[in-house]
Amino acid sequence: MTSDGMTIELVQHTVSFGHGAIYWSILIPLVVAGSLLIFRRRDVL
Amino acid sequence: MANHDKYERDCRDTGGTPEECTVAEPTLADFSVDSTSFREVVSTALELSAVLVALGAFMIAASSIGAEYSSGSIANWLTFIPRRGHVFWSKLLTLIGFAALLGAFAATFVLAAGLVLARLHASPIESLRELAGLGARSILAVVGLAVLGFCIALVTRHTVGALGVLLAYVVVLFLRMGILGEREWIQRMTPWTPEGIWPQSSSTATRTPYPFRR
Repeated sequence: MTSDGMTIELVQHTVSFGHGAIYWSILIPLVVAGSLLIFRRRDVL
Repeated sequence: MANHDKYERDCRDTGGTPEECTVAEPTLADFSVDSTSFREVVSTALELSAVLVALGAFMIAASSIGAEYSSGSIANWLTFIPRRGHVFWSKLLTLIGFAALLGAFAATFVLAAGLVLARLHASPIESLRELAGLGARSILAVVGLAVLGFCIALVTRHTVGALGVLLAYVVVLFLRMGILGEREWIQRMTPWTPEGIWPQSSSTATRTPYPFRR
C-alpha cells in the first residue's frame, strides 16, 4: 500500500547490462561450440 | 464556432452561471498531444529496428546454411576443402561480418532519419552519444541472433528447422507470459530468459519491467 492509498501488485525488478552481457557471452559460445562439434562429427549428406 | 453564441445563450437561458456557460476559444494546444522528446522517439525506433533487423538476420543466416544443405553444395565444399573446422569458421565469420554491417546500416539509418526529422520539426536534439551507444549495442543483438540462426539451421540441416525452433520459442513465450504468467516460479525465471535479457543487451534502459507478484 503506497502513501496515495494504492495497492501495487506488480513490482519492477532490474536486470543489469552486465547480467545480459554475461548471459549472451555464455549462451552463444556454447551454441557455436555444440554446432561445430556436430558439424565435425556428423555426415553432411 | 458557428453555434458557440447560441450554445452559450441556451446555457444562460437554462439557468447556468456565467462561469459554466462561458467556454474559452480553443487553442492549438487543445487539439494536439504532448510532444515526444527526440531521445524517446529515436530510442524506441532503434529498439524496434534492432528486433526486426535481428529477426531478418536470423532468417538470412539460417537460409544461407540451410540452402547449402538442401542443394548439396556443403558436400561440394567439403570435397574441395576437407577441413570441417575451416569451412565452419569461414562461413560463420562471413555471416558475422554481414550481420554486423546490416545492424550498423540499420542503426545508422534510423539515427540519421531521426536527426533529419528532428531538424525538419525544429525539435531539440539531445542524448546523441547515448543513442549512438544504443545503436552500437543493437549491432551485437543482430549478430547474436544471426549466429543462433546459423547454428540451429546447421544442426537441423534445414532452414525450416531454425524457423521451427523460433516458432516453438514463441509458443513457449506465450505460455510462459500468458497462461503460466501468474506463477511465481515462472516470474522468477524472467531474468534468465532471452526476452528478459534482450532489452539489457540492446538498449540503454537500466530497468527491465517484468511482473512480480508480492
